[in-house]
Amino acid sequence: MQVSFESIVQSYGGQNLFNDLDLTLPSGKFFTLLGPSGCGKTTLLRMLGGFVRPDSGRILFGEDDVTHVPVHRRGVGMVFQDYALFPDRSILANVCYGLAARKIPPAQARERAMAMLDRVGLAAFADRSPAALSGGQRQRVAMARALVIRPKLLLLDEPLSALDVKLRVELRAMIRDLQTEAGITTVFVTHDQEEALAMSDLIAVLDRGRIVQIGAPRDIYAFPRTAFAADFVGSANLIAIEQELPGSEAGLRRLKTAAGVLITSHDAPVKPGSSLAIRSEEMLFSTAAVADEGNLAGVIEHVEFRGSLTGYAVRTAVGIIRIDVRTIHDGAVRRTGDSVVLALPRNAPIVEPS
Amino acid sequence: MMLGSLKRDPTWLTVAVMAIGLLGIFLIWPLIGMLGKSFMGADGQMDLGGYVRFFSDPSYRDVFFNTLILGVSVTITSMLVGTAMAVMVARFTFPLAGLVTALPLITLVIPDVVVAAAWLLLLGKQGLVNTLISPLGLELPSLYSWWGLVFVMTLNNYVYAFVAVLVGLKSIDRNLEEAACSLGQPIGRVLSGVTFPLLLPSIFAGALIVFTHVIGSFGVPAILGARTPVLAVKAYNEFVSEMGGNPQMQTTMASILVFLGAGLLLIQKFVVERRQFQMESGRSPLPMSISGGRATFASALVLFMVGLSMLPAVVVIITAFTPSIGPVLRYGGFTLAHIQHALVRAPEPLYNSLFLASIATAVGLVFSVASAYLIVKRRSVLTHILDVMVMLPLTIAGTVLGIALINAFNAGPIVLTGTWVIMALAYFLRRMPTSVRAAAGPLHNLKDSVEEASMSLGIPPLRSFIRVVLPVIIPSVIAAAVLMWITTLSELSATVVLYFGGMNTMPIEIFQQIDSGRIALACAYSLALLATIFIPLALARWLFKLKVGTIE
Repeated sequence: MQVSFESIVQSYGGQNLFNDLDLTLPSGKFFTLLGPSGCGKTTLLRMLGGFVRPDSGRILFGEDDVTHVPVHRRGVGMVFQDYALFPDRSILANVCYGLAARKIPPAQARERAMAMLDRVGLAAFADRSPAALSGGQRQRVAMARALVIRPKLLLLDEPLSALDVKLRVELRAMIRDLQTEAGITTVFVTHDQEEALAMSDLIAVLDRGRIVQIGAPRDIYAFPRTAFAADFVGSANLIAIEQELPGSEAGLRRLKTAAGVLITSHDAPVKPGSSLAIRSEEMLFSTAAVADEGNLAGVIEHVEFRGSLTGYAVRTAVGIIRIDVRTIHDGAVRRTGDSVVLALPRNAPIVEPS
Repeated sequence: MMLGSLKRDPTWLTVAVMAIGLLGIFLIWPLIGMLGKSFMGADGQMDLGGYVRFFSDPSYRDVFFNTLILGVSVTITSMLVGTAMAVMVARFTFPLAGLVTALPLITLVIPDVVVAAAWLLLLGKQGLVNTLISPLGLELPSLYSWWGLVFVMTLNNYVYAFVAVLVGLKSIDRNLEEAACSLGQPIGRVLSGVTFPLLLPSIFAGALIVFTHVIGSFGVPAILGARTPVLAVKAYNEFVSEMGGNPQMQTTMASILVFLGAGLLLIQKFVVERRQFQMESGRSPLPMSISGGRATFASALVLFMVGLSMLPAVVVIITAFTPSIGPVLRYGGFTLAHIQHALVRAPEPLYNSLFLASIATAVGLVFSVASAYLIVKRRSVLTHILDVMVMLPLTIAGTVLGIALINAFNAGPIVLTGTWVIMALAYFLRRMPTSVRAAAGPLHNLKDSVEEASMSLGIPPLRSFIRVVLPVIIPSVIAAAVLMWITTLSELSATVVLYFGGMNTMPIEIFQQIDSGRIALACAYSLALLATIFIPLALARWLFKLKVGTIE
């Protein structure tokens, strides 16, 4: 089922959070709303759930206007950050809860719930109480409870953020598998870019109530449209572009910056305030002693050894540039104070100011 | 923001509007009517005569200052006693320290009037102590005086101060003191510079509770305060005066009490609450173990205070079985005459008390659950208004509420005067705020998402509430209902204005017996009331393990 927001206006504490927002979520896709806290992603999700009513505008499920349909008649499955299991009911009773509301005979409901629990690997826990389960197990119960009602739309409100790193990665795969099997349009809210990149078909990046960019994870990562998107999805070094110079013979664009001329193949127009966004993991240390066109010279100011990666902060003519190098490839030992030349990628995106 | 999340649930919006409407008609309208009358002369014209007369006529002005002096002195003594005890039990462990947990319960179970009567028996002119010391040529100062009032009212009120400060002390994170010590401060400076400022809001809150209680209380000053009339009693006297009283003076005095209470509520809201610190919920400081002389002293002090609080019950029980000739009691004798007399006459007032308390509690229960939910979980301008209205009765003296209700409902579209409904209404209004608070507590801890999960699974809002929210709050709500029920059984100050022939309640009966000098009989009635209160309380607390009258 395709889901859309139409001309949504919503104010929050006297300020307009959404000002005429339009967004369409394609049917059957895993759609992620990504952004920092306060960007409005949770409010959008809660609008779909029916917990928040927009000041104006419409919410459509397929062709149906559901703006004024109350929560309990929307037929959405929702998974909450804090699991929200009913503490006084057993795991099985939790999963059966929504089925009972749909007047499904108890025997059949039980069968469906058990099948769902089996699918999430918790059939053996059916009679336990939620308190006896670990965080990861509880969230799996919550998934089962939301999916067993065969919702038209699945809403995931930061379901992984209360879990520790290892569990998160494990559950990520399970959630994605369950979603693919069921083929349900899913909306996932997170502030974790790695989660968003790993799980989504499509990502919408939100910044203060505006949708900055919508795209597939790879596109958003490789070609962020604005400085905000570049910095929020992965972390990027932004180098201000002063002006575009005539291009090179190889069809590459030459951009004048405070640190000399830099080069890219990206075709976005240069606007006032545009920057070149260079990811810290896309640079290497050059063997050259002097920086030629397209590279940056600088002095190492700080070294941070993180195991598989080593991070360096390099002072250059455009300020501090952060670079992460795979430790295993970084043969030489570099120290604070060493002069270095950074080899920049030739396809770094040009981003607009946010 | 006006409606918040009520916008999406017409059901709850309706409930909110009904709750506000109910309080609007039965609380706000009578209060406004009463204030209006206080500004109205005999000719029906707007006129400040009532207030002018109040502050120029010494007989009224003295009453005002008596009230203030009594309020301030009892607040100070209660705070001293309550704070000292709270600090002792929060910071030190010593034998018998656990006894203090019984204090709130004792205070709740023994009605004010009974306490006053018991102290009359002990320290009054013909009292036990005077009888004992008169052969030595000594005599206690009269209990019908300032010191008598302050003494008895402190015993009736210090527990509120104790509980408020204790809760405050327990919520202080021990890391704060440890941090201050680690920064090189001596412990004395830490306590005065770190702990005390953090405790101030709790001290203020306790003081405000005590002060409002004292200026609004009726029973004790009515019995002991013949020479020091206070507002609540004077307003009542004006009200029942055979000469018809002066309606403007009546309402003026009641209004002045309302202004005092409202002023305090504002101070609470804008000064105390604003100074409240958000503390990381940490672990409270560990109590230090003391032994030897200091421990003996502490144990003795706790034993003494618990004893003083229990004493009235003991005295009442003994006196109920003591033969009397007129007002003179023959201690050491034994008779069942008073009990017999009481048992013959008591069933009716007892039945009335039980009937009214049960009705008020049942209505209060439903109302408090709904209001607490709206206030905590559906924040919006509308429910904020409800919140303020719900807390308002806390600052209104029972006598004042009674006068306001009678004035509003003796004529006009709704006539309730002279029916049991107006009494039940007063009880409901007086006790409902405490129940709302009790229900609100666990709601604060309940995450919204659980209820939202239920709704998203297809259960409509009201059913979701009943299935998911209610089970979580029901233990506290029932505990609050038991509390509401027993405190309503001993309600006197509104009853005294509202009762009518045939609708005597137990406290009224006790009050009248004391008033006419039949103290032994009053004790027999008190005993019956104590038993009535104690049995359901004991059941709730020990059989059903409900937290009635415990320190949170």
